[in-house]
Amino acid sequence: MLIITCPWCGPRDQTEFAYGGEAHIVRPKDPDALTDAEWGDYLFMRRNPRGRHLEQWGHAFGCRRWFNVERDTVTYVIKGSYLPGESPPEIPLSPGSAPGMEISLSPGRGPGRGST
Amino acid sequence: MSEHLNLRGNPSDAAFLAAVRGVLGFELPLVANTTVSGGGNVAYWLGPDEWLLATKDSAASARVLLHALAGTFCAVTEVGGGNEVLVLAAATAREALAGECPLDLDERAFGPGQCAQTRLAHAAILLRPLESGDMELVVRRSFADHVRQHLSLAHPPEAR
Amino acid sequence: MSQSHRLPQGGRIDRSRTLRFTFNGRSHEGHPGDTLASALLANGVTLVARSWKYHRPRGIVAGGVEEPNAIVQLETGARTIPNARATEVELYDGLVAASVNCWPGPGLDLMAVTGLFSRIMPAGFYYKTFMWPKALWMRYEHYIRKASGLGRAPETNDPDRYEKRNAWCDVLVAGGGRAGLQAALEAGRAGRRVILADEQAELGGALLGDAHRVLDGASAAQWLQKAFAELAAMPNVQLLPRSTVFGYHDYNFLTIAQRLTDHLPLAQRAAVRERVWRVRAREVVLATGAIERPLVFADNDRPGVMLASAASRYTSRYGVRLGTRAVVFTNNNSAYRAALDLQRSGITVTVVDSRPASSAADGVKAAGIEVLFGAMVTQALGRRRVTGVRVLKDGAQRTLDCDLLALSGGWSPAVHLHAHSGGRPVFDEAKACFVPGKAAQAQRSVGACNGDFSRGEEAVQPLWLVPGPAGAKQFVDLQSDVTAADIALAAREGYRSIEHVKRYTALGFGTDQGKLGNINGMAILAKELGQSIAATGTTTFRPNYTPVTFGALAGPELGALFEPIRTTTLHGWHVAHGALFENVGQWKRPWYFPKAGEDLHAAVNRECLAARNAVAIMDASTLGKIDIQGPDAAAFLNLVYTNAWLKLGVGKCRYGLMLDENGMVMDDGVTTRLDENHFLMTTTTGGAARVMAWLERWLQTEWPHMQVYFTSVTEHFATAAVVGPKSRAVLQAVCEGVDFAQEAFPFMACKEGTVAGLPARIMRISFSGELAYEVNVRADRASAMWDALWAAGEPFGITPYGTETMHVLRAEKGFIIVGQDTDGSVTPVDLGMDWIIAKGKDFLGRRSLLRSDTRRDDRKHLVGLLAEEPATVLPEGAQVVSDARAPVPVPMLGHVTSSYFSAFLRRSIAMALVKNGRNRMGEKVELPLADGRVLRATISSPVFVDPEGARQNV
Repeated sequence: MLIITCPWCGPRDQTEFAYGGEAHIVRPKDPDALTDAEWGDYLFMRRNPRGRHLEQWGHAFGCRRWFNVERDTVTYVIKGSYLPGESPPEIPLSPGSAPGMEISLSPGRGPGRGST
Repeated sequence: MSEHLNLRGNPSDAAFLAAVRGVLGFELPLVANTTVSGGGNVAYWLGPDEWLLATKDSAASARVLLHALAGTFCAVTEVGGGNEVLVLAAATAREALAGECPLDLDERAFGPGQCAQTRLAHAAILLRPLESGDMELVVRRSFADHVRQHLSLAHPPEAR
Repeated sequence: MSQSHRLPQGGRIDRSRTLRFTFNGRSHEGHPGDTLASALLANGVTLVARSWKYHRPRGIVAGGVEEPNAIVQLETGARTIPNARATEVELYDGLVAASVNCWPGPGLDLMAVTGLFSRIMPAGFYYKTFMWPKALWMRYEHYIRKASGLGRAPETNDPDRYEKRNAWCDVLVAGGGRAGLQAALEAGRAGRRVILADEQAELGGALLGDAHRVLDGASAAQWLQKAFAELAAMPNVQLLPRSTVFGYHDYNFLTIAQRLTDHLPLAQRAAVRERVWRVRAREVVLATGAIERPLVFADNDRPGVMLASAASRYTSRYGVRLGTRAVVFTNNNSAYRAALDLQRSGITVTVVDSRPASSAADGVKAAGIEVLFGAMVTQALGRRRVTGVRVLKDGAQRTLDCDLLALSGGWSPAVHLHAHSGGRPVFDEAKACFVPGKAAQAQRSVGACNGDFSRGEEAVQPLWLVPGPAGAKQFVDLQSDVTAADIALAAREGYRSIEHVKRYTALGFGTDQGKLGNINGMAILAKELGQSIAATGTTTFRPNYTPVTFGALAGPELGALFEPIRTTTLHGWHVAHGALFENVGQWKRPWYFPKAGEDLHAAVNRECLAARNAVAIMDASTLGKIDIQGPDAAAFLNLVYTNAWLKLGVGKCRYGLMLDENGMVMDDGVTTRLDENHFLMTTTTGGAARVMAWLERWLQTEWPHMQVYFTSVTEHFATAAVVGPKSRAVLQAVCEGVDFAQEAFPFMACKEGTVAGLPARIMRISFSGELAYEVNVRADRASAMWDALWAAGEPFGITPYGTETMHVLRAEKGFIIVGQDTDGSVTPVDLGMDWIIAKGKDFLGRRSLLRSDTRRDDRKHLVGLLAEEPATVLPEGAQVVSDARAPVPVPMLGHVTSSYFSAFLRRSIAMALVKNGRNRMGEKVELPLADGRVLRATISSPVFVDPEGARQNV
């Protein structure tokens, strides 16, 4: 049961979110220029990596914003969240903590950001 | 039911903020999951460009806001016909919610001035701790019965 | 004699109160503080069960949840619990229990005849026997199933209530023994939020049976009392007794099953029975202790053979005299405590120690107990009760008489939760056990579960298997009847991985999950394979640590609480007017409104005719409604709908079709342009949330530059559909501010006015093909609107109708219902809706319509079907074929998607998806049904009524 950090609301329980699959899949600008196979790749083919995965999550029961998450598909450790349009940040782990397990307890005052 | 408005607008647009301030009499909350109130109105932060406004007369408030915001890219939509507002008594509110709400409801983590959109079982809810210690809960009307039933199941924790 | 084996004093039992209970039909007595197991032993009952496969007599082996043998069926009827462990059941007055897997009872078990065939029933025997003839396998399986299993599942609904509770804390301590209590004290003193859970009714763990232990200068009892007092006074500490931490998941999320009423007599159980705590902890302290291992030798399963720590526990904590002569067989120091405890209770004790020497023996020798070093028990004698043991010492055999055999093969730290959390246990050669490895989450292990032994457990010399007489069974897993020979067989047959050996032999498969047998089994396998124990490894421990009631996992979400039951603000009126309801997603929508004596068909026929001939009214409030505003609103609609939107006039409505990117129909609805940059979109009832999320996701992640906002107003507005030739007259009577004349208010237009004093928006749109309007007002005031329409409609015989009639009316016109006539694999072209596919703009799903597969000419098309017998309604879902008598497999052409009786046409109609259907007009097809009937029908246009569309154009 993951704890996912919404960039706006901070860390929340996984059950507040909807999963959106692999991130950074851009809709082809000129679909007619693609063969059926290439269009099929866009529709269906995903990397499905063992390890580092960049994926989309939406805060369905919260602010309804979609964002991206870097998660390890083996350990389920989430390295960080970032907004659509941003590139995945390298978030350093604080020394001594078990990887990725920083559990913050406040719904709004945590690492979330405001509107500005 | 409730005199609620949904407000959308760009928080980086000074004109937008000024227009709203002029109508409400206070600043829109820009920090995530916080509230500001004054003059019988309450503004709840719902998203980076979205607020819920609780007013005394949503139709009238909408008219005034739209007038003040003319020319700005924004949206003012009445949504009160579909919302129900419950107030849970301070003594039992947080325990009652703990059954099916995954949020950390401890007073130290969640207190007046804050709000949170979250779940209670299958329903999306908006919580706001009040100064009195009571807990306000806003939910879509068709989910209100489901919410009430879950809240009424709660029992106090076993004595240590 | 009652309680023949109860010691005259001692034990943590309340001797001032006597409890009565029944086991296998016999009455016995015990005291509060007893478990069912301790009470049985106190009453001299040692034979409590028959083993699973061989039906061998079995007794109580352990003191707690690790018990493999003493499985009972607790109570009867609705409250019966199959596979309860007698060692866990707290005794209460009136308790009724029975043995399982034996008939008529463990004493005389007629099923023990299987034991005679034991030589041909090793592990996996059913994969090798019962194979011929193949046709009889199902018959064999039927009998094997009947003979297998332990308890019986209840056959009536669980009468108890269950709860869930979410909790957050700084420190969760799993285990309330000495190490756990110490951790809780330290964290509590530092002001942190602490939760401590322990599976027993009393906290204290092993200290509870350790009367003679001295801690920090005080007795164990005093230490405990002081700790409890201090913890109870801390408001930031929550103690949960009778609570098992049964699962440890990602991100320090743990589940705890708290038992609240199982220890009470049945008549007193009124409150919630169990509560599952779902806890997020900043840090977890695992203080789960260690479990003693038995030793493996011939016939080590006889009643009267038990763990040394269990013998000690029954003696000290429960005041039971376990026998008269005991042998304690050990390979480590911890068992010497048990030897002393037993002797104090008046039992003559001999210790058989497999090691060459140990200083721990000095204490017991001084007490007059004989110790044989360098000795091993090679076989237990007796059948329904142990009568003696064969001992091998210095090459010579001797026999010792005994009626109790206490075993200690070492201790295994309970690393289950550590493993759940992602940790990998590592084998400690010196301590001959697995200890926690590197933690994968914020946790630490303390006390015995970390291998920090304090009672001599560490001075161990491994003895994994005592060689024994050929042919005798050396049990490794008591509950699954797995012997050392089974493990050797698996190795011989080529199984190398412990995971495979487990599954092949059933080692660890029982309700005890191998708590006593797994480590011994792994060590034996390691020897067979000629590799180290570390290399062999353990099987992976997974939740749940002990069995959890299904009811507790379901919590309160049963019946009406399973899902929200959503109703509109007009629901009361529908109920008052006799509506029956159907589920549409989470909503209850009126299905039909039968008058007295009407069934579904009569009511629907009447409602349909009213809609086509006069006027009818329906609650359409459940449809999704999305307010769309912004300079890019129209451009956005152009992207999500197949048709064009830029030029839709203000105050006009248009039907929109939405596809997914794979070109398949996803949703549809009428969208209205309220202003230049302001639209109101409607969706299907079931698709409302999905479409809202779809729009937001595309905007936020793909087209963030577009200036448009979406706001859900599904519940803000209520909608009444007024349908039929008289609908205009009804609207004119109640609505102010709107000219309803045909020219002023044409089809597919929207006007604003007032109805019953309420601001109203009225769309002239039609799902029935009749003149029709939809009136929208604020939902919380909608009753006034509805009542006004109803009153205005009375002179015209206004008739309420529900979803069934709505379905018939639209089917008569060939209008699709997304999700009924489509299933996610149907394109607009399949539906014959080329007209709605705009050229010259891109939209979601457009490219997919050009794929070779979506352009095939044998795709299924939406067509109509007219049954040969006009009164016959083709079943929805019926398969369409050309010739039902063709050889199997008969080529399938399609299926019926919607089917009704049309009162207007006085015959049945149906819509179906049929291969190349549009080019088969007039063809006859057959529909073979499961009951053997074959129906016949003709392919037709799906528009059955008013194809010109004249009826709505008045």
